[in-house]
Formats: sequence, C-alpha cells, structure tokens
Amino acid sequence: MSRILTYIAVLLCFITITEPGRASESAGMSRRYAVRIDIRNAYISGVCIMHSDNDRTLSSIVNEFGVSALTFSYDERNRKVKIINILKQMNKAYIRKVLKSDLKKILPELRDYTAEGSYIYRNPRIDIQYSFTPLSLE
Amino acid sequence: MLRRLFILAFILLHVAAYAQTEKEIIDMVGKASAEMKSLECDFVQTKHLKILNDKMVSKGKMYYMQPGRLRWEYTYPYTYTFILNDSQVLLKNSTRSDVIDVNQNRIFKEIARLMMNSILGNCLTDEKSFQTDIETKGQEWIATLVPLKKDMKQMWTKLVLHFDSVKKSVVMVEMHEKTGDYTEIRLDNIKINRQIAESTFSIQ
Repeated sequence: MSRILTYIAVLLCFITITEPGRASESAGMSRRYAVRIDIRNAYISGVCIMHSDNDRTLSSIVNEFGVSALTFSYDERNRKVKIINILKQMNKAYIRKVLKSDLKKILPELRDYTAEGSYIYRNPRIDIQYSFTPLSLE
Repeated sequence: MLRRLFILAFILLHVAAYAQTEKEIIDMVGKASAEMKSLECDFVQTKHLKILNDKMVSKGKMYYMQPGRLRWEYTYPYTYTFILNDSQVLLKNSTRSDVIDVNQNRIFKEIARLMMNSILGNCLTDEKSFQTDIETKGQEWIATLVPLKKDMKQMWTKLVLHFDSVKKSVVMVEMHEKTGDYTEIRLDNIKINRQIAESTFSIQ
C-alpha cells in the first residue's frame, strides 16, 4: 500500500480522471481544504474541493499541479460514499474499500468542523492519516 | 485533364507553402529556446473541473536556467515548491521536503523532461512523443500536441502551447483530459536572460 502511494505521489503531476456529463449545479456550500493523506513513508497532498447541498456532498481531491486523484460523492441520508473516479494506480479493490470506509467517517465530522486549525482523522488499523486544513481564498 | 492537373498543382503548392511556414515556426521557436539562458515569470494555474462545474486557481513564480534547472513555486493558496536541478528534484511544502534522484526514477525523469520541454517549447520537435499541428492566430502561434505514447495518452488527450510570435516564447499551456477537465497555465511578466541567483535552484 505504501509503495503504491509513493508511486502515486510521483505520478500525480500529470494524471487526471473525472466523469463527464455530471456538472454540479449545487447552490449549497462550497469548501476548500489543503489535504494531506499520510501512509507510512508516503503521502499525497493537494486541495480538496467540496460542494455540499442538502443531503449530498460532491468532492474532488486535486494535487498541487492540478492532477485529480479522486472524485467522490457522499449521500448523507444513506451514509454512503460513492467513488466516481479514481486514479488508475489507486483503483484497487482494497484501496477503494479503505477510502470509502474512512471517508464515511470523515465527511460528517468535517462538515461540522468549525475549530481553528486542521481536522485530522487517523485509521490506526491501516496506519493512514487524513488532514484537512481550511484554505483562505482571496 | 490539363485543368485538373493545374488544380492539383495549385493545391500541392499551397500545402507545401503551409508546411514550410509550420517548419519555420518550429525553427524559430527552437532557435529562441537555444538562446534562452534564463526565464523568470509569474504564473496563474486554473484547473477546470467539469464534474463539479468549478475551477481551482493557483498562483506562483517560475524560474528556469540553462542547462536544466527549473523552480516552480506555488504561493497561493498553498505554498509548494518543485525544484529540478540537474538530476535531482526537490518537492517541498509547509511541513515536509523530499529529494528524488530522477536517474533512479524513470517516471519522474519523464515528468521533469516534459515540464522543461513544455515551458521551452522543445516538445514541438519531439516526433516520437507527439503529433503536432501549428496555426497562427493573431499575435500567437498555437501548437496542438496529441500524445503518441501510451503513458501520456492515459493522462491527456492533447496539450496546447500558445507562443508569443514576437518573443517566440510560451505564454500559455493547456492540458486537456478525456473527461473534459483541463488545466490552463498562463505565464505573465516574462523576463528572459536576466540574472538569476544559483541559490534559487538549491536542493538543500
């Protein structure tokens, strides 16, 4: 897993995957975070762009160079995470499973997070840590 | 029959003239690139996300110095620095620095080579990697590059380089993906062949 993430962190400069024809017209809340996912000796960093509207959150994680690693939706009513698109190298069943499970715990807490500083979630079983820091935009 | 031959000759001459112009552009860009000892500019990077109907704007500064040094530094809305110095790459954010030897990492070597060649316009002559078409539009030469290699084809459907026809340097790069997402990088306040401190490219 850590080797895959190391490889992905290197490749993320130029790889993007998203799903066509599903432009969001949400009039709800839009949030941006500096995001970092650490796993053992590897990490992925970038920006998480979230659109939330009533019961649904649509989000993309994009690295500093503009490469999309992950696009997903969260249905708050059914507490279900759907991965819409994911980097090819991350597109393994066990990675998707871990991400869905962790995001299901993260997203409700993140939506209500109002404290100063970063929101951090750690999965001790996999030794993976997620950090979301609100971005100040002009 | 004679009339048809005349029309065919006219078309062929027109095509030949067009091909000559494209070659001349490539030659001029190549010459300008070879004479470019250094380049310094601001950049604005805009990632257009089709699925979110949104965009992400980042800003920063770029420095290049011959023969193979590049500093790509994001200053807004995050701080992140990419430095290529000969065979080493430094990736640095607010909490961590990593140094990578590109000779030990084939993929990073390709990425670094592509970044340099895009900024300098050298990928116009990389016939193994791209199919290139060039058109003139006002004060710009616009080169559309379609990737030919599998790895690149997985990443992009096309790259578009915009050249200032007076300065003969890149002013904008577009990177288009299969799904409709694309990234634009616009270069502003371009300064060519100015003195840049060596410490700008320090990997330490």
